[in-house]
Amino acid sequence: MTKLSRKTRRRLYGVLWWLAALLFLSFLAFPVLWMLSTSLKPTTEIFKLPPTWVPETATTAAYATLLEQGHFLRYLFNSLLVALATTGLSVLVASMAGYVFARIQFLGRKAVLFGILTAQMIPGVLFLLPVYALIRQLGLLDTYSGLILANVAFALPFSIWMMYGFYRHIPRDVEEAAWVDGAGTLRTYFRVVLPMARPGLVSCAIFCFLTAWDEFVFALTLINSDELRTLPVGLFSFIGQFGIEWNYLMAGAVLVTLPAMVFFILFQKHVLEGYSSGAVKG
Amino acid sequence: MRPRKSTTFWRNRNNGTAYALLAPALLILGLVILYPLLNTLWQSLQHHVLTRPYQDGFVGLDNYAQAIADAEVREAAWRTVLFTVCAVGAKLALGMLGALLLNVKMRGAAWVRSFYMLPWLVPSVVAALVWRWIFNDQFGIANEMLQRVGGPAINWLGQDVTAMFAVILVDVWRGLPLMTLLLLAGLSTIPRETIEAAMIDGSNAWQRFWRVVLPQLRTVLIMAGTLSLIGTFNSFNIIWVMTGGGPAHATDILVTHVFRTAFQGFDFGYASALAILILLLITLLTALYRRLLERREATDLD
Repeated sequence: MTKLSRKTRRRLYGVLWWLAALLFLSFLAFPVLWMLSTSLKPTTEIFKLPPTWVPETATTAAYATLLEQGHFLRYLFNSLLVALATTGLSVLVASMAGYVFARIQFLGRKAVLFGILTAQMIPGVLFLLPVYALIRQLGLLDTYSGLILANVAFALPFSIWMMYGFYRHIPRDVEEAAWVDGAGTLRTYFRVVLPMARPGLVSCAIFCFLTAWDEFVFALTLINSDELRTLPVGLFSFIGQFGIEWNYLMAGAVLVTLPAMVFFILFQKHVLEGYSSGAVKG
Repeated sequence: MRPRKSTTFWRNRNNGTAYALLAPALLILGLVILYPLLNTLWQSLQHHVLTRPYQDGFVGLDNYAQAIADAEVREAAWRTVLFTVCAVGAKLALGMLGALLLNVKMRGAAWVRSFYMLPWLVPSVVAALVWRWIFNDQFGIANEMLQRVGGPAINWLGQDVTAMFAVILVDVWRGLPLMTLLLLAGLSTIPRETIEAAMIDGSNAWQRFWRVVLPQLRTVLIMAGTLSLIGTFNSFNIIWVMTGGGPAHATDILVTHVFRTAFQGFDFGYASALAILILLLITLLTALYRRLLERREATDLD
């Protein structure tokens, strides 16, 4: 093969790669851009034919209306509260449990681990009725606590697996040294182990936050009053309220997506590492 | 010698502390998952309609028989399998392509890598709303693009086949980034030498992919595929917000069906039996998927 033809081939290969990459990216990014574009249009432009790709007269009127309308900010507050509480509780509980599974041989360890693995397959929708009945029995229907409890429970199995996988790859020597120095299990855990496990805790937190932020079914059924609604349910109820005024809906959609994006950008490195190592090391 | 010594050392630690650290997790899981599971199992053997308490009583497997005999349930089950197999298949295939694409050392690849996770960050309810707007039959951008190239305007969410296509597409859209991420992580663990050795043996890229790369991705494929199967099977949010299971049950999968049954009829016994049957079906599907990959392993060795 001559030198020139190899060079041409490489160039052709580069062009093909970029074409494929652009196709892949535009499929993934297009709906998000369309959501943004629609949210910046005035209502009259929504019903224009043919539709405009970029708003002719960009306006933030839809955002202003949404935010003035009060409900939306309330939903945002509720969502943040529920998601952050779910994240905090799940990470705390999962990190303790994951540590025990990774380090301590106790009676029934294998059986409990297997049970947790199985629990991961159970979707919340299927247990809606018994969970609803339980939350009612506990007197937590239509409260933040009830929703948070349900969210934590369904985020726990995967979180425990994540933390368990993570602790297994932390060398034991440091802990053994701490114990030899006379520190008890609890002290070793909080002073020595937790600081080392920070990257794992962050990955776990991101998983929990995004799961809770996305949660819809429990929020739809365990909460009745409008003041306690979370964003996904609130947005869903807007369909009826705003009719087909898609610019308001899309402005809401952008605002619901934004916190997840901020959370992701802040901790991006950890997410990619956490998920990847979980997948590869299993 | 050392590992053994170490295990005895760990085993001798205080079991009480272990249980204490474990207690919150077990308490929550027991209360909110195990108890409802057992409750569901028990209820599924009872006749229990909330609005007609005087008829309550043990009925054995009657609820199961009723569910299996129900044509609507059987249709929903087939639709669920169709939906799940198509969506997971597409995610695996496109995710593999995406991972191979991003794995290439190319100027700009890093730039692409920082954007492809975007759909994963869009909450599922939001994703469903956005796509509902894209597929709007009058003012949607999907029809606009189609008509530009001379196609017809389609009532996407109003016809059975196109509605099913649309909900599958949205599920694929949202699940693709995570699949790509996991497969990309798997690709990065493959030692370069194995691929170089195959190149020296004179294999082409196609052969290298099937014979060298794919077998080494088996663990990741099992993990990512199982996660995706379970998630897709339970894809309630997207369908509920996009079509509500319609038009005329065309996109009604088991989870949307059971949701409607539970909260409309208040027939707890029947809904419980349905939930247990759905759990069995998920278990069966994931087991089949694993079997498929494990059999491939056997043929690889031949």
